Amino acid sequence: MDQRLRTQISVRVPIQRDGSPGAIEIAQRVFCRRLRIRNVRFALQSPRIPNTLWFGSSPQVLRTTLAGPEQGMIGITACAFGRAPGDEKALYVTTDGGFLIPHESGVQNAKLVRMEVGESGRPLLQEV
Amino acid sequence: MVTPTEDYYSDHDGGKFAPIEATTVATWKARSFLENLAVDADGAVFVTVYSHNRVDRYDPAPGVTTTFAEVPAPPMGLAFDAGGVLWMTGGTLYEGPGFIWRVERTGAVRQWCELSGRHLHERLHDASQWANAFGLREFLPAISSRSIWANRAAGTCGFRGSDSGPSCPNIRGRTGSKSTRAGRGSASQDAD
Repeated sequence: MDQRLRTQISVRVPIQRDGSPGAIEIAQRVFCRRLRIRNVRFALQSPRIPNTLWFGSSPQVLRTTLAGPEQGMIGITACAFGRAPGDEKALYVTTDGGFLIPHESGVQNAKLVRMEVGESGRPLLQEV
Repeated sequence: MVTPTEDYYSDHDGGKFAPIEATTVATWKARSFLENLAVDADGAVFVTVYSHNRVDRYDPAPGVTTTFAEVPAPPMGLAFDAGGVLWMTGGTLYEGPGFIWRVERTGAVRQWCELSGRHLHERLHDASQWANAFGLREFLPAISSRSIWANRAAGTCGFRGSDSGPSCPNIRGRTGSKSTRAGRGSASQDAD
């Protein structure tokens, strides 16, 4: 097996009537190469490019780098749109400061960063 | 060790570079690992601090970060359901088991279920190779009224899964048990 392959599994845990968990179900299992997209939010996506890049994605699948190390975005781990009134067009991004994959500048503080991206997010899924 | 980006993703050209303003609203000391985040209906931002077994809350209005909840294992993915309950997955990377916790608005944490790596291996009887059990890594942002969805990831250089076939229920639910201390509290702009 290619050592770069990873096993990705989605599991589903039913919520029973009394709120307790039911038996686990393995909903999907796939083998893939290194995880490329670390965290996804509609209108923008955050590929896990070590330490550096931040991508935007339009419906035409155009990619734009919105921030890099020079903007302090080292070790991006996740992102989510704001939900407070007036905050909907803000994208919050977490970083680990290069803790997992160090940047040449060394490990920096972890951060919560707010970016005004000019468009609101949308939920990926409303109901399963 | 520094790993150049191109060594990982040589096929990424990065696209157009158009930087926009980024404002750091909270920081944690170096080597704190922020794993994921979710935003509640009021706009507060909740961040899982994997390295410190806790969830921190950032409130945009006053710009304050506080500890919201502490959990007994490293937290990873998190998502809110329609009722405002925060659901979290967690567990130590490369070790088992994985957990799903339910966190009330007060910050009270309750272990909802535990996912044993061994049992999962038994269910995956046809898997050829497995790494040690990975903690539940991410929530898909998919919480319906009937179920919780989560992703579980494993590497490759591990042991062979059991060939014994699917096993009996592989999850241990604990409703209303094993509560852990939690709650809003001390300012935590910097992780300890």
